[in-house]
Amino acid sequence: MEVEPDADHSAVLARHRRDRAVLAVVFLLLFAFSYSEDFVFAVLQATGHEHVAGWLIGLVGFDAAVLAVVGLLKRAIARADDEAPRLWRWWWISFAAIVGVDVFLVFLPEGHPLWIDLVSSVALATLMGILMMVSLNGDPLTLFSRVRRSAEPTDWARVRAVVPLVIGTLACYIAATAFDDFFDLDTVRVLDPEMAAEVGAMPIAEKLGALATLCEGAVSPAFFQTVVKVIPLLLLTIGVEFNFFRRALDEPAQRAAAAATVALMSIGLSLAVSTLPWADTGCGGVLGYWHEYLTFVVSVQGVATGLATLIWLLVASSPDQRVAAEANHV
Amino acid sequence: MSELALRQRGDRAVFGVVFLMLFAFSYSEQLVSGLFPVVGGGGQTAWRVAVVVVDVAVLGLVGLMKGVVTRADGDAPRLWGWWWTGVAILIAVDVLRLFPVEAIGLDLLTATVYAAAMGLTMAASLNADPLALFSTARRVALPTDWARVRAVVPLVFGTWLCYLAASAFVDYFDLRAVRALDPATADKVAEMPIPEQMAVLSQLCEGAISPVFFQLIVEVLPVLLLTLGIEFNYFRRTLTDAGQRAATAATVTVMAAGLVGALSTLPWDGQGCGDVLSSWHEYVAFLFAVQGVFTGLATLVWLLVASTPDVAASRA
Repeated sequence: MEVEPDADHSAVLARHRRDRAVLAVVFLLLFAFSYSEDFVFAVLQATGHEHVAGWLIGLVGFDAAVLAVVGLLKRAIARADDEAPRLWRWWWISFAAIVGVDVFLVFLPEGHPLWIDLVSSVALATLMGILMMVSLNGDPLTLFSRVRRSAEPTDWARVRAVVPLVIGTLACYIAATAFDDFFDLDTVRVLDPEMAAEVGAMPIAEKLGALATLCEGAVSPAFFQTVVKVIPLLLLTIGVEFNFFRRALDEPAQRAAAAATVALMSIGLSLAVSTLPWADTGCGGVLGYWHEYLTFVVSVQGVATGLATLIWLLVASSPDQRVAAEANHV
Repeated sequence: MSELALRQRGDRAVFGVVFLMLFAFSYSEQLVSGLFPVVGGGGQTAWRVAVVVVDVAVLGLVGLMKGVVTRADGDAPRLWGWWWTGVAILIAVDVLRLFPVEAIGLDLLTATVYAAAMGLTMAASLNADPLALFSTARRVALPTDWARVRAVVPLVFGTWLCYLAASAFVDYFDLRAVRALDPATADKVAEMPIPEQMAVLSQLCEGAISPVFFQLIVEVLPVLLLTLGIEFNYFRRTLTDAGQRAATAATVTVMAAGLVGALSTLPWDGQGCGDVLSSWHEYVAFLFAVQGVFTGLATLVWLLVASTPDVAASRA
């Protein structure tokens, strides 16, 4: 970045640091906090500690650690904004509610009804949103009060940047629930040795037919193939739409949200592309469970966040005004 | 030499560094392993030694260009410590690879170290302090260094993914896939009744990578190129420094190479005997495609993370 010769060096430095803290809050909450259950599950599965105590320590500990870092960043952002400490009550209430939901989820019995999953998904996504808003030093009430919006324009700019990310996260939670409840998780991905020996003894034509039909993934490969086509077009559309709202990239929180949206869509696209070398039907060509699951939830989150951004920009921002050419010659 | 001529020479050297590192250096292994059997045979160790020789030659050339870039910037010789560190790591990894070890973890580690060292060498060769990536104070104090360092980040990320893809190709894909029938199986198939023969021939041979991958890459890359074009519009200033222009040109070139590689696979179905790509063709097209897609995506995200749009900057 070019620095004006007369710019105050320490002010520029403080601005850079504030921007970095804003970016860190958005990325930590979006990529570490909203995937905490998956991270903890992967670690518990790998270490063989899939019991209630393991989940309790793992999930609550992980979330508390991430939120502690976010709390420190909130303090740094408020200091850089030259403001007295504020919105801490919101922050602590959200923090306590998140820990409460975590504990509730850990003790939830296996065969619970679907509506509990949906309600907890909505609660977690909303809490994440509130936490992100207050950590960026933005008052969440500006979302509902016109008076506050005009009184606190910076808060409103930050709060409205977070909204599409919350909607995308909600879609991600619902996709994770759908993956567990509606897809065939017992599908045959790899032949067990007995079956493989049986198939191996068949005549060649029959063997090829059996191998092609016996194994398949839980998600149709057509889904990933379509995601690969859709996300680049969404990225392109967002790029064009940002042109009408250039100011929307002015405030660091808005830039961080835009970067997080594009990062999310890019990761979703990368994962979807990574499924393509395998045909995903027929033994020897089916994706692993984690590969398929992560690709599914991240790509759903990417598409939902992209679409929410497109709609939300039109709902909540007013386009930049063009300056008439004659204005320069008055 | 006039100041203008010196600057133009410096700009050419900047382009030379970026393109040499990205295309000659990072693909030296593939180039040598492809050409070696054609030129004169030799064993596994012989072509690995040839890779080391080619890498040393390319890095030597890049070192000369570093001198030109530094002179054009009007700076005293600097950052040679970083440069030599990067070069030493790169050559050490090359030498380590003379002793083949089959371990996925080690492959991933060496690929990561190699890509990081490549980025370090590239940044130092462009006369830019690599520490600007991590230190806010240095970014503010050395704006040109920061502009160059941040320009090479997406390229290094794309190259890292390319190295990982090369490891994945060997470790995860079925390299023993039947691409063409051996005579014994061909005889056996020929004895079958025609309908069965057709069914078997259409299923028996296949490549290691599903043809759908290349078909979709051909659709994705042009859209990504278009998206990048639109995004660069918000960051016009980011195309002023020669390092940034060179990185942008290299990004578009690597994406174009990925597109051409993927297009070149489409005339073959990729499924059924007589219609499968050769393993070399598939491997190179796969690597270019992966590097193109990931470099493009990394550029999209990185511009938003590391740059401020033109309007915001002019107000600030």
